[in-house]
Amino acid sequence: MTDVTIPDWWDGDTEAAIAAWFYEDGDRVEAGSVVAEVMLEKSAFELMAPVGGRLNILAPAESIVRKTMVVARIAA
Amino acid sequence: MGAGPESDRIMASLIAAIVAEHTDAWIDLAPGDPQARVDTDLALVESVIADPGACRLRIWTNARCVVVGCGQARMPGFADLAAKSRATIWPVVARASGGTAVVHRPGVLNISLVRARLGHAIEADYANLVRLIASAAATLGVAVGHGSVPGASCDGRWNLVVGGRKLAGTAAATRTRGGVVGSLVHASLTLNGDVVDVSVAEKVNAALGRSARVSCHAHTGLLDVLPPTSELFA
Repeated sequence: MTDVTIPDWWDGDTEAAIAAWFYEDGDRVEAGSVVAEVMLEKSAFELMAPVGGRLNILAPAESIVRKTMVVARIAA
Repeated sequence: MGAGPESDRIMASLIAAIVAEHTDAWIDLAPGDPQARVDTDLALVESVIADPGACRLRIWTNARCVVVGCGQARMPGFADLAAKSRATIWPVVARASGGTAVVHRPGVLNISLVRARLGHAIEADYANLVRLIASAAATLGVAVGHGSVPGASCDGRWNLVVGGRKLAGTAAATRTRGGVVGSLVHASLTLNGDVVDVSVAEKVNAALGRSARVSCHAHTGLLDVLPPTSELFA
């Protein structure tokens, strides 16, 4: 299993939100595909799949997230 | 430009001041389809992303339209609203960045800063854009700060603010390709304020399920805050 974490995208410890998942829980995803959009205030970030495999979503859409938080896992 | 001679004159002065600081700015005042004009920002991101370190500035205008944030564009009612609006004087289009509905029209100047780099620096990008616009506004005698404006439509931490009122809103989007981050930070700056802007934007927000208590008094336009000509050229 490979963690999908919120990268160090912004300064400080501000909370962001998962705006949308572009795949359903359990879908197969390719490495490098955009799996979700994360919104920090009015800034939109693309969250990429670090590896290919089956996506297990841990933080559903509209969840509050912080940097380094694991929001999904991908099983090869 | 089409927003009136005074607005056009101030727009030209502001553009000249920005270009003086950012010499390779792309001044893009051509007419075109509102959605295509918005999408050009993202095309610019894709064009620079192969070149880490690249930086482009686009100064542009748009025809009359309402531009919603990417989150609103995913709302169930958006497609229908956009389709129905095409036959009206306020077509509704979507942008890649966050935030809520804003108005584009003659008299609103858009300034988009696009960068490619290894890693994210969105706060620095916002700060650079704000600094660039504030510096240009200072040449016209207007002191611009930044921050949230309670009661403003599409409020945000990186608003450009004059006298406690919102002069411009900002938003951002990023794209990542092969480890290189392309960032877009953009501002929509009102030259001649119009209370209709806030009303129209909030009607679109409400149609997409988001109602907020906003006030047109929380907004201003550059023409409204210019010092008397005698002070400007003293």
